[in-house]
Amino acid sequence: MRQRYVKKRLEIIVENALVRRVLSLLQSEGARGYTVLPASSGAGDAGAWQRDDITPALGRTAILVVADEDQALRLAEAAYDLLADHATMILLSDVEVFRNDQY
Amino acid sequence: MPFLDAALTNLLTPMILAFALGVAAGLVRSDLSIPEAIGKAMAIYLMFAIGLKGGVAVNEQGIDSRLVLALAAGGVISFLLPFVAVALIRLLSPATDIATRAAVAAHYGSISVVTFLTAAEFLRLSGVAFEGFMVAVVAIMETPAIVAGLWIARRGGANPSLADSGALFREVFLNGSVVLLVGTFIIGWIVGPAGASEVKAFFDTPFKGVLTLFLLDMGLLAAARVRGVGGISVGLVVFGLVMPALNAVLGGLAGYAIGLSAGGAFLLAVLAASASYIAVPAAMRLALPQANPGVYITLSLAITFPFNVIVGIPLYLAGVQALY
Repeated sequence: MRQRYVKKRLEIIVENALVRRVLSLLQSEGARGYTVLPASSGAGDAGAWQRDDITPALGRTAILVVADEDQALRLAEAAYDLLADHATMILLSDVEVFRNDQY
Repeated sequence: MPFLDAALTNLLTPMILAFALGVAAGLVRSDLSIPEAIGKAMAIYLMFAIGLKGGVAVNEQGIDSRLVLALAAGGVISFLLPFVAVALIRLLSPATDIATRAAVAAHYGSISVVTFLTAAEFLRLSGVAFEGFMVAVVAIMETPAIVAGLWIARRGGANPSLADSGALFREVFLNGSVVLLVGTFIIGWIVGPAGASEVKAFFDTPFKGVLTLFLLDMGLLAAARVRGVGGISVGLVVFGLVMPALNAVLGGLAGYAIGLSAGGAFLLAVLAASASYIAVPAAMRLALPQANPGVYITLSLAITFPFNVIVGIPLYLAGVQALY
């Protein structure tokens, strides 16, 4: 069996209008990489939203980062400070990866 | 009665009937939908075509002082209307929080390009001439209202989040529709009628057809928001109907005062009456996240937009023509 390494997976689900801000934050905080995923639709305290709404600003985007625990926690804290007032989800979970040196 | 004739003429155009079809399909929860990418492509096409047409008209007619006056009037109206709006919301719906009040106010100072396009087509149908440079006024009126709305929010204690003012600046001054309208207006101005004739087959003849299809999409999107109307106060619904009519009076009078033709004054009235649902929501989500988007999008798209395209446009034209 190939060796696996434990990392943290940080998911930030954020309004489309804020994606650029979050990506610059991740870069300035030293994230080695990220993946941006479009979200289709959803609902929450800020009401229902969908990707093909009249204004793209109300849709959501998921930003995915895998990193060492310390780095992931730092990124999550920084993202929380940036997005505290906004409709957003910041999720941290344990994941296993094959390539340790990639994250 | 001329107004009823005009209203009927407006109602029985393919564009307004397509809008009605979209609303009806949305309300009965049909699975009819326009793919998002096609909706965006149509919006780009429409703005490119109208910008180009406006620029060509200025190339032909030349610049006079009315262009400068119309631009100035548009900017001032867009900046001042949010103050009228916020006072009216306070009167009609006192329970609405200050952030939402300021955000709604910003939407009503800004404009809807589709309402403008529909009004311009209505003028052509009615045989009323208007100044080509009114397209430039559209671009000018997108943004001052956002500044006014944020100022109102700050004054009311709902501190806007201006941490990343670069992103907000891009959203306010360089949003796609402003860049496209201003850019194509300049292209039209440079190339003139001779240059425009080379792309006429694409940008002129199919224009009404694309606008008709786009209004079908707008109907579907408006209907999707109608369900949100139940979640907002009666006072705000009344606001969504009274505010455009009041703004149209102010816009029409301003157009008359600066010497625009009846068609031009009517278009300024329509621009003042219309409310944003694309540029301003983006800016408000960035800078005023505590404001409720369910209120401002619903008011703008599900109440004011249908009111303007169905009732408002013939009503405002009758009003302006009575003035002249």
